[in-house]
Amino acid sequence: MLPENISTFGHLVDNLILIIFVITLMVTVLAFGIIIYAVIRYNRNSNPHTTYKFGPFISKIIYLDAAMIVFDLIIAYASVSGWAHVIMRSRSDLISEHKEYVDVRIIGRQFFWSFNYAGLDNKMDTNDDFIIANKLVVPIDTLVLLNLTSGDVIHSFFAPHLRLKYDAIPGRSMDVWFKATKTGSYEIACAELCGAEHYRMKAKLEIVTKEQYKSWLNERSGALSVR
Amino acid sequence: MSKLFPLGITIIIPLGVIFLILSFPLTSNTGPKSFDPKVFQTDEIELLTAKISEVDSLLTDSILPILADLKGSKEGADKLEQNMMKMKAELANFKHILPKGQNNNKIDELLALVPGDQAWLDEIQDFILLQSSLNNLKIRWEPDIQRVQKGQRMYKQLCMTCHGKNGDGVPVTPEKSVTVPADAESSVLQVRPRDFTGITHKDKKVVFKFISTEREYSPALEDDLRNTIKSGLPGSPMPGFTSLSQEEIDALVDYIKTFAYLTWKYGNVNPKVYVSPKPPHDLEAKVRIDKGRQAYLTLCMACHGDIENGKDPEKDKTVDWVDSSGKPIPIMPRNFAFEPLKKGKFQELFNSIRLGIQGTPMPSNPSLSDEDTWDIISYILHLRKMANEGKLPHKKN
Ligand SMILES: [Cu+2]
Repeated sequence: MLPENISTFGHLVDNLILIIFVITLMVTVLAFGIIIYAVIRYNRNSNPHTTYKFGPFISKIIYLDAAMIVFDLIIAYASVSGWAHVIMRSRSDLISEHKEYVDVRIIGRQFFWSFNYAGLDNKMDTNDDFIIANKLVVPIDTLVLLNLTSGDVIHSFFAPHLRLKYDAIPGRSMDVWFKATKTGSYEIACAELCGAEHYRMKAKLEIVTKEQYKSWLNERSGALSVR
Repeated sequence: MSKLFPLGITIIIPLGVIFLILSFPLTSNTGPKSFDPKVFQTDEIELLTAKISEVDSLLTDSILPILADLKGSKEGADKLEQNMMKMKAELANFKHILPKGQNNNKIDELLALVPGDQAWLDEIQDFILLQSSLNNLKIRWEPDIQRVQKGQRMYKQLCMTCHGKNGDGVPVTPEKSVTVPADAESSVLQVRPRDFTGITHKDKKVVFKFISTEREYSPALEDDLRNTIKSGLPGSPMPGFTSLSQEEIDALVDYIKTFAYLTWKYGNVNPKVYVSPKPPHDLEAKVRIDKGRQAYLTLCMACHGDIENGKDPEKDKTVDWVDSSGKPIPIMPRNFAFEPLKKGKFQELFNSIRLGIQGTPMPSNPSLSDEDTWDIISYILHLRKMANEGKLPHKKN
């Protein structure tokens, strides 16, 4: 049903989706069950005259609210814990936790994604940076720090396999991250209507092994960078 | 319910049917909508090719022979005068379909002149020389309509945002340089996307910076464009479009060429391609670096700055490029130590030094020997290393 999960935090998102699905399913089944029961039980033949029953007002409120509060708490817990794990992490925290990392600055443009790589020295704005359009190549099992912004209008970086979706907003830069667990070629899309060619604003996400990434980086950075 | 039913039949359903019928033309409307009908409408490309063949036949059938006749003969002059009015009308005809900025001014000048005038004759001669690069109007390239249409679609998706609707380098969404630090002086500088039409050039010339032919060759090899599209220009917002297939890149290049149709159509059919030698293995040797430093200080420092002693390159003061408001577009010499090189492979750098960079003050250096060139590259490599190790003074770090 969902695309394959290839990121370390993907299960958090999937769980949240599952929890919400199960809760709404339960509520739906219960609500429809009551309606169907009532339709059958109180039909015209068996119950020709309307009967009104009033229980104590407070008890209805309690039953309804108790259920709502429990469900809300479950959903809140799942989403807040996911949010805290994925979004509310500072760059320095992540770096000190993982040590090894890849830094990519993503600029959404009408209508393509521009991926700025830090090059061999892994430092942005130095002499071996390079930019690639519509292709994000990253190593497996490595922290990838994404700095997300836009060159023109609002775009949204959406990598369904990574369970990562974040708006790219002009004039603002957002830090997000992921860590891929499986090699292969996946899709990145723009999830915010950004203009006439929005539907074609797709990029490729390529997860490769660490060795492959190293040789690719060497090749891209050019000979004049420092080895 | 029964009261409502006639309402449904009499009003709502007919309305729905009418709406469906009205909306039908919308669904059958396929194909990209165009921005500037003159340049972009796909139907107009066919019209364009038809018109251009008219222009071509005008040039080859009527003007060229007459000019040839005219050389030293009086009859030729009379003949030319007879044809002048006709030609003038025809020139006015194709005026609007020529790529913007390329020849419009020239034709305006032509039309302003009196038929039969000597100045008019000179102008026609000039015009033809401009188009053919003195090359007997040999056709070098013809657009393939389907490929151009495909390229147009891709241009709108991938290039238009920066290079502009009309290919003149006026971005749809302007952007400040990502490499130049945002201090007061240099934040004025914006990275100027390439102008494919030549409208911002002082001579209305289509210029590409990184080419692998002699400087006089106009404007570039298709392969040069393909290379740039594929690998991008580090240090500018131009990314490398690595995921495009060869076919897609060809389509894009074909479309880009239609921005300066005549310039690309008539050109040197057999350009002299320059192939730089293989780099030597001892580029990191100290002897080379020292020799390179000497050469750098005499040849390059004036523009590129004494980087080793913390001097930044100075902003160029030439006015080769002027934007639509008449403001000169500055050209920034590269800071070899701290900035990415747009063409950074050894052989590409060799090419840039040897052939120069078109449209910039960077001259060609045909007399510089291979060894000396490699020495300079070796010094540049040394500078970049020092910068990365934090041993060079620079205000940015
Ligand atoms: Cu978008």
